Amino acid sequence: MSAGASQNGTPSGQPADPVASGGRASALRRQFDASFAMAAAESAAERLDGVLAIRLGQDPYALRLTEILGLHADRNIVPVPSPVAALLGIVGLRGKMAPVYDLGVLLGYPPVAQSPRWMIVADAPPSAGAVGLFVGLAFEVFEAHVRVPPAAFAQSEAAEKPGGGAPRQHLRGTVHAAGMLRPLIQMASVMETIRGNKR
Amino acid sequence: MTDNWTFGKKIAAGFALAFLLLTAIGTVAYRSISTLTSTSEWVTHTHEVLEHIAGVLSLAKDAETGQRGYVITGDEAFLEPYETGAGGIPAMVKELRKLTADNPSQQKRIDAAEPILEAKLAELKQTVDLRRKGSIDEVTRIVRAGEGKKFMDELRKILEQMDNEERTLLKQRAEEVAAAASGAQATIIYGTLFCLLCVTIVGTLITRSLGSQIGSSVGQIQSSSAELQAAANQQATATREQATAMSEISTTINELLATSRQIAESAQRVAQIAGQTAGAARSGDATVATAHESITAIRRQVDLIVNHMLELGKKSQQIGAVLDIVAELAEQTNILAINATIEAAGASEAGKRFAVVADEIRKLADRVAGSTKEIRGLIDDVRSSVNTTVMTTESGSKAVDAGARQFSEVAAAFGQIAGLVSTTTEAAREIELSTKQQATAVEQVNVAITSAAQATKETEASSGQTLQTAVELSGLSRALLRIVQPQTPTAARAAE
Repeated sequence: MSAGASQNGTPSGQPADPVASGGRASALRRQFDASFAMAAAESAAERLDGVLAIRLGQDPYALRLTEILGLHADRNIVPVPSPVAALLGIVGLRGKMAPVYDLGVLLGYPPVAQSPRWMIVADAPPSAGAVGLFVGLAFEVFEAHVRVPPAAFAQSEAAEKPGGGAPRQHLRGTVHAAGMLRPLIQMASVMETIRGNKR
Repeated sequence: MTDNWTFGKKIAAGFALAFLLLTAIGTVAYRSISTLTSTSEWVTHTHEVLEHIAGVLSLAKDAETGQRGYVITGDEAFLEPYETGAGGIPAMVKELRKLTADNPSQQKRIDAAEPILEAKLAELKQTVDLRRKGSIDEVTRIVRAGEGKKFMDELRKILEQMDNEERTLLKQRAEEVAAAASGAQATIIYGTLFCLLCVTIVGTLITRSLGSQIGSSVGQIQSSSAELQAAANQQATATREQATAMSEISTTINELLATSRQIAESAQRVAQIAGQTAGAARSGDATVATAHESITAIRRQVDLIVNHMLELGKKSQQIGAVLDIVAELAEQTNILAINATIEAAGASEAGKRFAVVADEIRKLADRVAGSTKEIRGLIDDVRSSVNTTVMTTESGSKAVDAGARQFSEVAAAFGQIAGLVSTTTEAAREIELSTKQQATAVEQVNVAITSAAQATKETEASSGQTLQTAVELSGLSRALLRIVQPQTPTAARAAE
């Protein structure tokens, strides 16, 4: 949420006088109208990639929007007994049942007492010798949805985990988003891990 | 026993003894002298009797002599002895009889001699008569008859007997006189000696007793006079010191008097100032009452402010609740926009346009969220300010309460001050009055001290006199001791 503020709004905490608020409201209105006035092709030609800025524990991470199916909040997760530590329970999504995993645990963080509020939905198509996946991945803090230019991405074989020392197989590259450099979580790798657990 | 007798008693006893002895000696001597006197009278009486006896004989001889002369001469001149003798004989015999009335034997002899005398006188008369008549012969015959001589011889014989007896008596009485004189002499000598002895013994005893008593008393007097002298010396010294102290006291009292007057003036000023203070305290009391009313009004205003502020806080809370809903809506809108973007990415070219719309919606939601956040911050600021204001106002209210209480206390204190100041005023006046009385009393004391100083000076003078008297008394006692005690060297040293 602070991402929007950092890009478009006045920094919070500063006093907003009525004149300024009125000015801001009219500016917002103009911007909103202008977005509809511009050509669609021009808007699309920018090729901005959507990225979700999240936080696991105290560490910032980023997710490509193209790698997930949706974002949800405050979903009712029904807990199920399981030997898998990362499995929190199951949840109903658009008429389908889906297991919910703790993304933090999958990335090597210790489990938290309360189930995380936020959840993304991801899938993996069935491949040779493997079943298709449709899972929810819960995490603690959703920071912002930002659109970044391609230059913001940096490729690397295995990005360093910000805290250092943990598994690196799910992190591929970094992105500068929401005011800081964030490791990118690769959903395919995560799905592979879940699939390995299932096996 | 006699040790307890007084001087007068002892001296009276000594004199009484001497008196008794003198009385006894006097009585005895008186008796002896009475005896001697009566014995001497008897001797004189005997001599008188002897003279009368001799007188009778002499008268008879004179008468005979005259008769013979006349008879012989016839001269009438020779008759004078005759007439004298003849005329005196009876009276002489009568006296002799009277004188010898106590002696019967002499009376008998007188009785015997009387007729003889009468006869002789008759014979003489006869012869004289005869001669006158001239009868010389007759006369011669009668004379020659010897009758006359016979009468005379008998008369001489009787008178000689009488004379002898009287002389015997005279001798006897002379012996008696000598014995009486000797007894009286012995009585006087021995009695006087005895009396002297007794008086000497008693006098010695009394002298010793009185001497020892007076000596011890005089010794005591001497030691007492020495003590008196020392005491008089001490008294004189003490009196001088007392006089000095009196002078110092008088000076101090004068200073005290001046101080008392200053205190009285100060107390008067204090009373005036206390009166002014009481007035100031009363006006201060009124001012405090006005201030108290103002504070009560401020208190009411502060209560109103607090209520309004609390109301403002409630409203802010309500705004916050509404804002929560708006924020949640914005979040949900954001989620929807994200999901729409995801869905649009999976669609075709139309999906791209939809993605643009969804992105705009997301931006809008972001802005709403940002504005909501701002509003929340503002509301938080408002609530914080309200809380701060409420707290400040409440503390101000408490301060006002405390101020009101303090003003009440100040008002009470002003009341107390007014009361105390009135008490102080009274006390100051009492102090003033008391100090004036004290000053008067101190003046009286000063007068008394001056009198006492005068008296002390007189006492000093009299103590000097006492000292002199003590010295004189000491000298007198030494002199008295020298008088009553033998002056031995030890005694002399003791007397010194």
